[in-house]
Order: sequence, then structure tokens, then C-alpha cells
Amino acid sequence: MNTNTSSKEFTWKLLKANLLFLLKYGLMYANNPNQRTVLMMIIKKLMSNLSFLFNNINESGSQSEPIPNTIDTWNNPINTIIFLFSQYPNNVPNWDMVASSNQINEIFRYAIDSNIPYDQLLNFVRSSPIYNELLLTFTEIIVEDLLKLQAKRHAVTKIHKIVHEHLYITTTALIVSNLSSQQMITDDTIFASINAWINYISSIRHISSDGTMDLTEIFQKLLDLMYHSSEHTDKYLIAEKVLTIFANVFANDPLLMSFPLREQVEALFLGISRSGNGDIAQNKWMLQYMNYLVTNEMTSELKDLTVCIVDFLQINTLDVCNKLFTTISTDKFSESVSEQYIKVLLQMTNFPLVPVLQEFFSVRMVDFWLELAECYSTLSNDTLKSNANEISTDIFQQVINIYLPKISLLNEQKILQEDNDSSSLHEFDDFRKAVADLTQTLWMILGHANLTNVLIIGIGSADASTSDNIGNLYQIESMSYLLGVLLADGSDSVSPWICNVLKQNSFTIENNLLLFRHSMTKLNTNINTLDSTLSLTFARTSCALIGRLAGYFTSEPAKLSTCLEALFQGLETCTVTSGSPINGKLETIIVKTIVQLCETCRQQLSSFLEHFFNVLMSVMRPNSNVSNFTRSNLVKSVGYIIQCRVENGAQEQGKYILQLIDMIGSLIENNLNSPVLPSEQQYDYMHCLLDCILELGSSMLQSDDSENTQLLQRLPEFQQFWQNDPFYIRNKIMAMIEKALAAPEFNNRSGIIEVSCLILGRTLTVPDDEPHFLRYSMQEIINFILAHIGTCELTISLPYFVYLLEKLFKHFKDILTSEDFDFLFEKIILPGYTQYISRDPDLLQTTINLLNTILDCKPSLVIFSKHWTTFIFPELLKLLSAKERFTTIAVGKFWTKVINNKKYTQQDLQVSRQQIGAIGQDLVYQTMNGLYHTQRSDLNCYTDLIRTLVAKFPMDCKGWLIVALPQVCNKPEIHERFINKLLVTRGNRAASSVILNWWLECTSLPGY
Amino acid sequence: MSSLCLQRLQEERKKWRKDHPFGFFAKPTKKTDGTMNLQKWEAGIPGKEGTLWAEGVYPITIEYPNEYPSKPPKVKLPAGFYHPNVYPSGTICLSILNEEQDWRPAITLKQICLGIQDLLDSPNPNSPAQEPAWRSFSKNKVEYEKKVALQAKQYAK
Repeated sequence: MNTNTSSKEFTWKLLKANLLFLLKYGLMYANNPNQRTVLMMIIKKLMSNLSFLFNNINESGSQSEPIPNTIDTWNNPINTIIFLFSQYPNNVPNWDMVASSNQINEIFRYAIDSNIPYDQLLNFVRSSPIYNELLLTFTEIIVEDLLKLQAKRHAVTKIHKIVHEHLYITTTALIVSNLSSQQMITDDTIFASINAWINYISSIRHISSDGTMDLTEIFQKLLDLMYHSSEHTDKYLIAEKVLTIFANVFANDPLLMSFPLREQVEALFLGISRSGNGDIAQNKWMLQYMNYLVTNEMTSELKDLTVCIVDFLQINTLDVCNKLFTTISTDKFSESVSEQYIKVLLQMTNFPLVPVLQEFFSVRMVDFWLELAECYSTLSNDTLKSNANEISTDIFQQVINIYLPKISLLNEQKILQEDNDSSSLHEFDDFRKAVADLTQTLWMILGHANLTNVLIIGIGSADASTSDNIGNLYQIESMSYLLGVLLADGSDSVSPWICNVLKQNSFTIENNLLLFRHSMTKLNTNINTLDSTLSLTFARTSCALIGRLAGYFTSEPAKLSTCLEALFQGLETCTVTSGSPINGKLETIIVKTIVQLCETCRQQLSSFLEHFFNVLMSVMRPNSNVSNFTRSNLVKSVGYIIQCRVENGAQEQGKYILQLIDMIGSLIENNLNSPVLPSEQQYDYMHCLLDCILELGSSMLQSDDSENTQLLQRLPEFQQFWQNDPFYIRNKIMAMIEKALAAPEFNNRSGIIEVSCLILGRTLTVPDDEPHFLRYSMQEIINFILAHIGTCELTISLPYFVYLLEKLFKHFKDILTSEDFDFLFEKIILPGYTQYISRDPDLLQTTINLLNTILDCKPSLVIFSKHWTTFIFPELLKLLSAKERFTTIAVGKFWTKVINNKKYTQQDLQVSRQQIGAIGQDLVYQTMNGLYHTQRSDLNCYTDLIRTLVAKFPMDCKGWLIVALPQVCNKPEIHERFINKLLVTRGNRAASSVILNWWLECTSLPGY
Repeated sequence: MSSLCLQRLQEERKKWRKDHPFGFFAKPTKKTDGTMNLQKWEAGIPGKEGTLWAEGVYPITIEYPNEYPSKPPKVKLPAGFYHPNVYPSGTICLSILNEEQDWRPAITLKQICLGIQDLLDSPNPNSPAQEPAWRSFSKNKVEYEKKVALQAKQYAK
């Protein structure tokens, strides 16, 4: 319905028509209740129309001079409806009569202003349940529609006052009378109406200046209704509905409920009254209700109740916190009440069923404890009670003790056994993570002494391997999980204090490893999905903790050895057969842990190098079942250990690297000489072998935090050694790469080209004085590129060769000259420019980026190039009108860097200005032409360039623009305005909007 | 931090704790003194099941400006993350995170996280942010998928 009419006569006509038809269909429904579905659809639409009219009439306001046949205000649609139903209890006049009869018109007008006394309202709703339903539905629709209008930011200002003064009073009476008479609660209409009103009042109370509409009477009635709901009367049906309403209030706007009412709710929910005003005897009802839900396994209803209660508890968190821990409060909340209150909450958290599957109290209470802990952590020391520390430690330690068995995988096992749906499993997983978060927060209060150490003692005080009780294993898992989370929160190293506690509890590592071994034993047997899921979690927990204890192992090599042995055995177990997704996941987890240990404990693992080599020999073979991820990570792990083997000199380190490179070399050789045609698997393997060299190179870099003092002392020896490279390792690696790239089946594979370039460029980002076996000379790298640029397919290989070139230019910028640039440009870019590069936006971008990189590091290399003004400028001028965004971004940056470059020397600057001066006219034309033809989202590609031009060439720029713009489009006035405004900005930020406006005006597009 | 920003972030945290999609995590970081830094969050985005990304949980950082929620948060994956719509710095190029595009103050953390999860497996070829992944994605799908699978292992759950 279009109610947006300025004609008041028409509005009045619409109002009458809608009222008339509502009356007609209402009576029809009262006479034929079995037609409810069809009739209510029409009735609701009519009510919605009327609610829009209710808003329009009241918001448009009254005229100073009343206009005949119109209305200016409509205070109470409910009263209007009651009046009309009373006037026409059986027959409704037809529309013609309403339109033409003055008498009927007067009746309708009177209905608008009618005032219905309370008794008449009650008599009306009691006369027919259908009238009652219609009124409840109507009042619900009105407030829902008002909220929709509010959300759409319509002008809704006066209406709330009218609702407050009239409709709210009638509706409260209507709802209270319904709630007082149980017979009238026949369906959900009353609850839907209450919910709509709560939402409405909650939403407008912050924006309305007319005060809050009080809901106390309704809430009190609801509370009474809930309390009288029972298994025998209605099987707690009413209680459920009321709790849903309360849950909505507590979750979204708890302060809608007055404090005295909340005191009652507290007593009812918890059996405790902190103020002493609540009737704690009512808690018996709650216990009976919970018992009913548990006995009948009504998990979903129990969950709803949990959400409601915990949301309620969270209203008071700050207050509870203050009263528990501070001296701020002086009211009746005595020590004993506070202890009792917390005891109830702890009992609730420790609800004796399986979390997620059967109960949600423990799950939802995580939020409460988290909030309480955070509140406590932010309290000022001045306000704390003298024993606040003891109280908090006591409470939060109990919380941890409750949650440890709750997050046990025994419960996950039960969920897996009972529930086929994975959502419960996911919920349990989330629950564990939430408890982990809580534990991290509680650490702020409990510290190592009362949390970390307690967990370590719990895991490692006794040898669990001697116990037959499988439950112990699950307990260890829970504690290891939380300990792992706590240790992950800190730095990489484990504090000496923790190390001492670990040493004192000598079974910590062994017991944690039991989890891992248990998992592997399960995998060795033929297990089902349930077992495999649990096994994976066991292994994940164990490995996470081992990894996080890496810092501790630096002082406990024996424990480190035990862990590594177990991990390698595990790796063997899960790679005996391939293909199982669980095995694949385990393999990844194990390998990542090994890498973590090797990186941190490289020094301590020095003596294990031979063992590692043996493992490597086995896993690197192509027929080994391990993944390529494992291969390259194991090589990296070995690399870490070799990196710190410096005590016996560079020769020994070199030998280890040689041993590895020889092994990889022979595998590459075998792969290349394989009689069968290379499959995708072989390609992957070849890629992996080259990647292993790259990983080895990365692991040999000095890490910032692991300064090797021995290496520093012998630095010249190592530098000399790798400069001479007596084992010809660089040559050997180069030969491997050459062979791989010479093979036609590999030389057009981007992965092989990429990894080859990465190996060659590995040390180009490393300081020159750092010794490294991959330090290729500039000439070697150039030769490599030149040798392969012609043999590898240019469209595939160019980006990788250019990346390498970019690194080369950056690293060797001091010794390279513009002649070198010319040579490389002629050999690498020019031969394929016309045929390939100019036709491919990606390759164009790659090429432009190379120039940009050089402009960033040493511009003289390009600005003195013989190709600069003869080839590069003309080509890049053309590209200013390119359609590809990638190209225009790169080319925009190029010209900006050419015009304004902080790396220019005085001589560079002088030459550059002359160069720009010579092409300025063309540059401005191409830029403005490109800008004119681009789309709005790409305007930024040109904005910076134009700003730079204006800033650096203000005088010339004006002339260039005057000449260029008429060639772009014929809009002289717009151009003149643009030039004037642009030059005033001198290229500052305001220029961007000037450019945007010019573009909008020239293209005749609207701005927004 | 403005009170509007603080209030909204507290609300976001509460909402997230109460209802977040499975497998995701998000929490404010801690300042050096151990207190919570509501303006900088750490979160994890699991790859969608049944996709190449499924094996990993990808860490992101979310930095809320003082002007939040008028301005969007800056969301970053680790630097060098392999994805066509992720800049080399790790900044994610997503329209709902762009003030000049689809950002609206009503957008929640949950919507942002789900948006990033969607983006992982459905890159937007019209908003390339890094060359290597974008090129492979548009020209060499096999290579692209291999790298994505390898990256998933690096961020394995």
C-alpha cells in the first residue's frame, strides 16, 4: 500500500477502507474460526497497512486550520478497533455506504478518537478469544512495523510519545489480563506480542526522550506464570515460553527488568539471594524443572535454560566481582553469602553430565568465569580486600579443576559414540578452545605457581605407564592440552623456573609421550573412525606440548632424544601405508614438531646428525611413502643442525652439506634418467628435490635470535671457505639445475624454473659477509639467466627470471652500470618484447616492475641507458592508455618515480628534468587520455602521477594541459575550471578530488 | 580509543564468544603489561571443508582503528601469504574491508571471518593483489593448487 501521500483526504479514505475491511474480515474469522490460516493472512496485511497509517498520520502533524474530512492524530488503534467491533457486532456496512453516508463517516471519525475504559476492554476480550487474538496481533504488528520504520531511518519522532501515552497503556492492560487468566493463553500469540513489545521498548528507550515504558507488571506476571508451570499442569510448557522471553531480555537488554524483579529471579534461579530480598524457597521449582529436563533427556530445553541463566548471571559480573574481592561494597552481601553464591555457581559449572551432549552449564559458564577473571584483573590494588588474592586463587583453581575432566577426550569419545552428527563434536572442540582461552586469562591471576606448575605436577608427578587405568591417560591429555596453550602464550624459550618444575616432575615428558605412543599404537591396529579421531587429537596435544617445550629441551638433551625417537617412530608408523587422511594429518603434525625441535635445539642435536642422515636416506627415495612436505622439512631440520656445526671448522660443515647435495644430486640424476615418461608425480618429486636444496639454503642462514658465537669467532675462515668452495658445491648445484632445465619435460614447468631462480637468488638478500654455500657471483647468475631465457618458454619463465634480476640489481647496484643494464635489457627483454611481452599484460607488468625496482634502488642505471628515451619512454607512454588495471598501476608508478625520485643524484635530477621536459606534452596528453577513458575504480592509477606532475612541473604543466585536454574531449569550460583548480592545489591531496570532478564532469557521470 | 569504538568492540567480543562459526577462533591480543588490547585481535580462519584449503587454519590479525566502526578494521594474513587477493604484506583485499567499497559499520567480526574464508577458495580475479598467486590462478591452475595445498600443510590444524 502506498501511504506516502500528501493528501490528507486520501489518507483518511485509506484509513476508513482498511478499518472497514479489517472489521469485515475480523467478523468473518470470528464466525469461521476454522478459516484461520487464510483469513489471518489478509487480516495481518490490513493491520500492517493500518500501522503505517498510524505512523503517517501522527508523524505528519496537525494543521493550524482543521481541514474537513481529514484527521490529524490517531492515538490508539486498539481502541478504534474495539469501538468499531462494538458498533458493528454482526453486519459491516459496505464501502459505498462508508464513502457516502455522513452518519457512518461520523461513526468512523468517532472511532478514531474513542476512549475505551478498562472494563470495556476486558469485557471485549473476554467476549471472544478471537477478538482477544486480533487485538494482541494488532498491537504486535504495530510495534514491529514501527521498529522497521525506525531501522530504515524514516522520520519517526512523535509517534513514540503517542505510543507511550496511549497504546502502551491499553496493551499492558491487554497483556496483563491475558497473563492473569490462564484460559486465555491458548497459543503463542500472547508471547509473540510480549516479545514484540519488549523489543520495541528496548530499541526506542535509548532514543526516545519520553521516558521508558515500564514492563514490571508484565514481567511479574510472567514470573508468576513460570513458577506455577509444572510437569503436572502443562509439562512446563508455559515455563519454557517464559524462559525464552527472559532469555531474550537477559541477552539483549537485561536492565529492562527492574532490580527488585532481578532479585526474585536470582533467588529462583540460584537459590540464593545476595540482597536477602528474594524468596530462595522458589529455587525448589527450578531444581524440579532441571530434574524434569534431565530425566526426560530434553537436552535442547536444558541448553535454552542454561543460556538464560548464564546471561542473567553476566548482568551482575562487575557487581559480584566488586563484592567478592573489594572493599567497595558495604551492603548486606556478607562473606558467607558470597561464598555460598560462588559455591552455587561452581556447582552449576560442575553439572554432572557430559558437556555438549547432555548439559551446557559448564559450556556456557566459561563466559561467566572469563568475565569475572577479567573484571578481577582490572581491579585497582587499592580497593582489593586483604585476602582477595587467596579468595581469587581458591575460586579460579576450583574452576580449573572442574574444567579439566569436562574437556577430557573421554567426553569426546562419548559424543562420538552417541551422536552421528558432527556438529556436537565441533561444539565440543569449541568448548575445549574456550576453556583454553579461559585458562590463559586465569594465568594472569593464578600465575605459574598456582596454574602452570600445578598442571606440570599433575602430568608428571607419577609414572603413568605403570597404571592400567586408561582414565589417567585422558587426564594427562587434558592437562597437557592446557599446559601447551599456556606455554604457547609466552616467548619461545621456557623460563628457568618452569624448567626447574619440569625437572622435579620427571615423568612430565614421558607421560606426555605416552599420549603420542597411545595414538600410534591405535593407528597400528585396525581402527574405526572414532578411534582415529581420538588418536589424532591425542597426537596433536602431545606434539603441541613437545614443540612448546623445545626451549626446555636445550637443557635436557636426554629428554630431547626420547622425544625425537618417539617422533621418528611415529613418522615411520604413519607412513608405512599411504593414502589415509588421518595418517597424512599425523605426518604433518609430527614433521612440524621435528622441525620445531631441530630449529630450537640444533646445538644439542649435533650428535644426532648421522642418525638424521640415515633417516633422510630412507625418506628421500622416490618410493618412500612420505610426502614431499616431509622431505623438504626434514632436509630443513638437518640443515639447522649442520648450520651450528662450526666447532670443527668449515671443512666439516662443508662435508655435511656436500653429503646432502650429493644425495639430492643422485636422486635428481635418477629421476632424469628414469626410463618411463615423466608423470605428474615425477615432476612433483623433481620439484621437491630442488626445493630441498632451497630449504637447506634457508636453514643455513643465521637466525637473528640464535647467534652462534663460535661462528663469529671463526667468521673469516668460513667466509674464505665458501668463497673458495673447495668441494665445488655451487657448481654441483648449478649442474643439477642445468640438467633439470635442459630436460624438455621440465624446462617449461613454472615450478621448476621458479625454484631454480630462488636457489640462485637465495643469498642476494643476505649481507655479503655472511658465509653461505649458495653465494653465487653476479656473473654466475647473469650467465644462468642468459643461458635459459632462450630455452625456457618466455611467457612462463620471464616473471621468475625478472624476480631474480630485480634481486640482482638491488644486491649488486654499486657495481652495475647503465651499460650492464643495456646489455641485460637487450638480451632479456627486447628480443621477446614485440612478440610476447607487449601482448601479455602480466609480462608487461613484470617488465615495468623491473624498471620500477631499478628506479627505486639506483635510477642512474636506467636514466642513462641508451634505451631509456628511445624505447622505454615511447612504449611506456603508450601504456598509459592500457586497459589492464595491473599495467596502468605499474606504469603510473613508473612515471611518478621518473618525475619524482629521492634516489636521484644532482646529475640524475638534471638529466631527468630535461628528459621529462622533452616529452612533457605527450606525457600529459597520454595521462589525461588514459584517465578520461578509465573506469572510476581505476582513477587512482593516474591521480598520483598528475599530482606529481603538477608539483614538480607547475609552470610547464599548465601549458601542456591547455594543449592536451581539447584533444581528449571537447569541453573547454570544464577544462579551464579544472586547470585553474588543479594548479591552485600544487599537487596536494585536494588535487585528487579536483581530478575526480573533472572526470565526472567530462564523462557526465553523477558523483556520489 | 573512542567510547563508541570501545563499546562496539566489547559487544563484538561478547557476540563472538556466544556465537561463532565452528573452527574459527578470535580473541584480543594482550599488551605487554598483560592487559587486553581490544584494538588488535588474533584470529584463525579454517579452510572450507572439501576445498584445497581445508587442512589449514590461517592466522590473521585484525586491527581496529580509533574511528571504528565508521572505518573498517585492517585485516592481515602473514606476510607472503599465497593468495591472489592478498598483498605481499599480507593485507587482505576484500570489498567489505574497504571503506570506499562495501564496508558498513554493521558488519560484524563473524561476517568478516566468514568473508575471508569464502575468499580463500573463491579468489576475486578482478582484484589482484599479488602477482605470483594471481598469475598461477589465472594461467596455471595445477601449479596454483599445488602451492595452496603446500601452504595448507604449513598452517595445518
